[in-house]
Amino acid sequence: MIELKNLNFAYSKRKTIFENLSLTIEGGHIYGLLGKNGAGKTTLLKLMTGMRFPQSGTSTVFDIDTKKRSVKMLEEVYFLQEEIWLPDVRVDVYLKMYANSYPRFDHELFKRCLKEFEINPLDKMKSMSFGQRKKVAISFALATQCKILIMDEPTNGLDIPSKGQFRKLAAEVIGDDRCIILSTHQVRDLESLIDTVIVLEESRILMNNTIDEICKRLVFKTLPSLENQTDVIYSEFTPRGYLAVTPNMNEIDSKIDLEILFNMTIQNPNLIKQLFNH
Amino acid sequence: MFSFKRFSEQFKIIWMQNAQKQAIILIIISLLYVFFHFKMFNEGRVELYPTFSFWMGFLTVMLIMNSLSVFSVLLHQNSSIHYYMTPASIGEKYAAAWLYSTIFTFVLYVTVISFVHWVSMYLGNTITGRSLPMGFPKLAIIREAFYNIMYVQSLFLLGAVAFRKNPFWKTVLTLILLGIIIGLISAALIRWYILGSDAFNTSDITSYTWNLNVQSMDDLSLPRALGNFKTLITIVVTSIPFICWIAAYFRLKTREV
Repeated sequence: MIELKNLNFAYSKRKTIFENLSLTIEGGHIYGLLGKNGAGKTTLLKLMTGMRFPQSGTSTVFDIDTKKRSVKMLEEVYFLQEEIWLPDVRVDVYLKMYANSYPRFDHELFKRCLKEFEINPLDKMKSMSFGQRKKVAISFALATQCKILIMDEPTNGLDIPSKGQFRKLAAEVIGDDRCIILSTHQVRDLESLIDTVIVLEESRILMNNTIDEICKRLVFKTLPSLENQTDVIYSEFTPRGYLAVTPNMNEIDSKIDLEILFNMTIQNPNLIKQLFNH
Repeated sequence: MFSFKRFSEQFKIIWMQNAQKQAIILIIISLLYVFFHFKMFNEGRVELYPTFSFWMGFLTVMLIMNSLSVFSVLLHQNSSIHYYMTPASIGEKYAAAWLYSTIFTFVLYVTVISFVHWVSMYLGNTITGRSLPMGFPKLAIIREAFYNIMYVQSLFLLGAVAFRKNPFWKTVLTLILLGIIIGLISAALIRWYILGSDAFNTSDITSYTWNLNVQSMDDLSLPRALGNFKTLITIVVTSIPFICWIAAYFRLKTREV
């Protein structure tokens, strides 16, 4: 669906963001794009959508150069930004303004999403809180039925029940011919939704693996102490004990802890390289 | 491939975003118009009626405002991304913005003002028993005014797309700087072709003008070379709006967010 090949990008000669970066995004997945502040997550999303142009290398969506910003590409990609922008109109007016631009826009789904998020379509954007406007933007993004949904920090500004509703709605729309890319720091909010993890750090992709692949190689567990635990490759102390990661030698099923995985990847990139043969 | 459906969708977006603002401005200006008419009929003085130049000045301001407003989405990163990500080609988006900020605004304002003027004059003449003339300007004058307004509009439309921050003031500043540069070049050319003396010696220009009793530039019999140059300048000056509109399109197409 999306292919970045040998991509180089810098904002200035001194500030290189990506060097020879390659990445393939496939359908049927919900990707979690993780990275520290300033790692280049938003820049990567902008390169994927043609908002930024690479200095060299290519960025294509369905084999279309994103730099062209062609209609065919724009009809299939929806980019929900962290700081959303919506015109100062009523929700129903916004729908009249933009829905026709998307050939498969699902008006019923939009209505249902608004209902789930308890948004009145006759409300003016101006009178809404940031969270409410985000809910409108999320509803619209899901209803466009675009094959690629790119969301930058989608749960920022959402209240606790809305985060659950968002997960439910996002899981509903995913199919084999569609993918969602979620760039986030709020890994706990989206842990149950993400099925593939991409970790970005210092111009490189340290990890690009499915949750299944990760859980086949690693076990995530809580230990009361680290004494006699020789196989622990990473741990973090918490009041509940040690959150530890060990190699999965005996095909044990465990629930992934994305925060621990991310911290481990950032601190031991070579170990991750060895474990996942990157 | 240019799609008229997407183009009309883009035009609809611009219109729906600006309709309320335009309606308020048109209501205010119509009320002002009625007030001027009332004053004119009340005092029986036609000179109280605002001149055609005044209305053209107002229209110029409105077209500049709309040119800046139609691309105000580009002032912020979030709205820029929203704009670029909307499914339509840059050609369709630009054509809609261009049409809105040029012909559409001009026709809308001229139509509304003309209608209010006609109604006010008709009612004024009927109620007071006077027979003041309608005084509609000739079509040729409106057409010339349209060209002049488009000239200014094209510069500000380019400014709106080219500058990321404060497009109005940056456009004004650029025009002042360009004016100074063109003025200096013109002075150098005059020296080269006509005076053949030291550059920017204004006293020479004064004496030359005085001695030949030149009333205007048209009275000067220009050398053949300068005559050709004048033709070239005329072509360049005439094509400036088109150059600005085309440049704005390419700037919009290649702009990164």
